[in-house]
Amino acid sequence: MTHSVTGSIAAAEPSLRVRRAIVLVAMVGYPAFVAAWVGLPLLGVTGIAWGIAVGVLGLGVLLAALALYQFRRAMAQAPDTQLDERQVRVRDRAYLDAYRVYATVVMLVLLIGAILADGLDQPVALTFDLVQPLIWGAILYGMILPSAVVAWQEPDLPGEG
Amino acid sequence: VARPSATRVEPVLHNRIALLRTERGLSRQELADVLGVNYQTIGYLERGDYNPSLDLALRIAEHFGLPVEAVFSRSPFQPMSQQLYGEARGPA
Repeated sequence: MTHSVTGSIAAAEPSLRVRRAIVLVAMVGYPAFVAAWVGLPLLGVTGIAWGIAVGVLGLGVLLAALALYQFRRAMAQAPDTQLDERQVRVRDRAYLDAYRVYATVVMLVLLIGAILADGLDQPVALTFDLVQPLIWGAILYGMILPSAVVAWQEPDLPGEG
Repeated sequence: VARPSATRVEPVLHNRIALLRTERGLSRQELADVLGVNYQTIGYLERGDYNPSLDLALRIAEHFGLPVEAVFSRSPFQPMSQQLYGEARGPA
């Protein structure tokens, strides 16, 4: 058994509170980014102001996603051979929890779509503008959810005793 | 002596890893290297945040040259000082 992935990382790891803030930025940031992209022009915000708002939100989501993906040297993506027994257990548990969240969100989105279509008494048109953010969201959350769960749940590292 | 957190659902398993490691002058990294685990795992074990597998528990006990019940217990360990002197002195 080798442990090169998380063998000896620096103690300067973000605290649990900071990690949870990063998770929230990644989770809430993407819907906010899509809402800003679509909604700000409707509110009259265009041009440079729109670009800055969308850019800041997009960059925030990207950086938060990267930070989560790399948490504890990508522990959530590492194979068994690079983890010890506790890390394997944490990773597997994270995938289970991530799947539950992911499946629930997908189900809710589909349910809301169905209810809307029923309420409007016409099918929801799956236009490119509607489908594209959903696809990017599915890819983003599919990639980072396990890492986000690990970052959210892992206790702070014990101090050296 | 590790005191497991109250929030987890796993059965509580107490251990003396921190005490034994300190007694032998080992860092977490050194103990982790010997046992083939990550040093963070040693910290979580000591803090009672993680219960080891039977294999790891036996390897830890073997490393310290002690029976596994001297390192791990389902009930809290008595403090070492009390164990050594508590009963001998007794009330005056």
